[in-house]
Amino acid sequence: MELIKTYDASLERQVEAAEKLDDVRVKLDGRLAIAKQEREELGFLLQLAKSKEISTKAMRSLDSLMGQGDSEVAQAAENIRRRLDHADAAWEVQTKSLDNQLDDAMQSLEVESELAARMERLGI
Amino acid sequence: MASLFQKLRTLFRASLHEAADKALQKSDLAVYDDYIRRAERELKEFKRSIAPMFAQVKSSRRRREALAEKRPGLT
Repeated sequence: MELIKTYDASLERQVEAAEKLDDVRVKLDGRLAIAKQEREELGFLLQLAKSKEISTKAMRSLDSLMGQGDSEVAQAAENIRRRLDHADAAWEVQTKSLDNQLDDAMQSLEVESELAARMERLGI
Repeated sequence: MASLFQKLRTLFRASLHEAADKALQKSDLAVYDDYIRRAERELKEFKRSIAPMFAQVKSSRRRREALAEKRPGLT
């Protein structure tokens, strides 16, 4: 009976640790998704900047149009930077708890794995 | 444990803002793309590393169920 209780307690700890690892996995997936999303925005922005450069060269003789659109490109770049700043700041907060979650989960699973293996050898 | 954490270095430590800034300064997405590639590799490796642990949990559950079937009073 005692062994069964130990087994149950061990299983519960394993499940808890596995859930923590899964939580870390989900958050890492989210972080990567944000990076990929902003990559699209950056691509468009650089394309916009290049197009602006080309059109500016083509319209060089029209002095009043020089610099038009500079503020739009700068504003778009600033918006991307702001979003990434926000994502980085939120991530920094999460990272601290993820560090501990990962450590705890890994330690717990290593211990429980050894216990499970031992019980299996004992035929339980 | 330390090695698993190190495998996630890019995802945990590198700043998205800095990578984007470098890309904008150089007008080249190579740096940002490199960040994404490294992050993808790390995440794939992390998932591969933890897969056996989930398998272990499933295995433990099955053994527990088998035990309960053998000894009905234990459920």
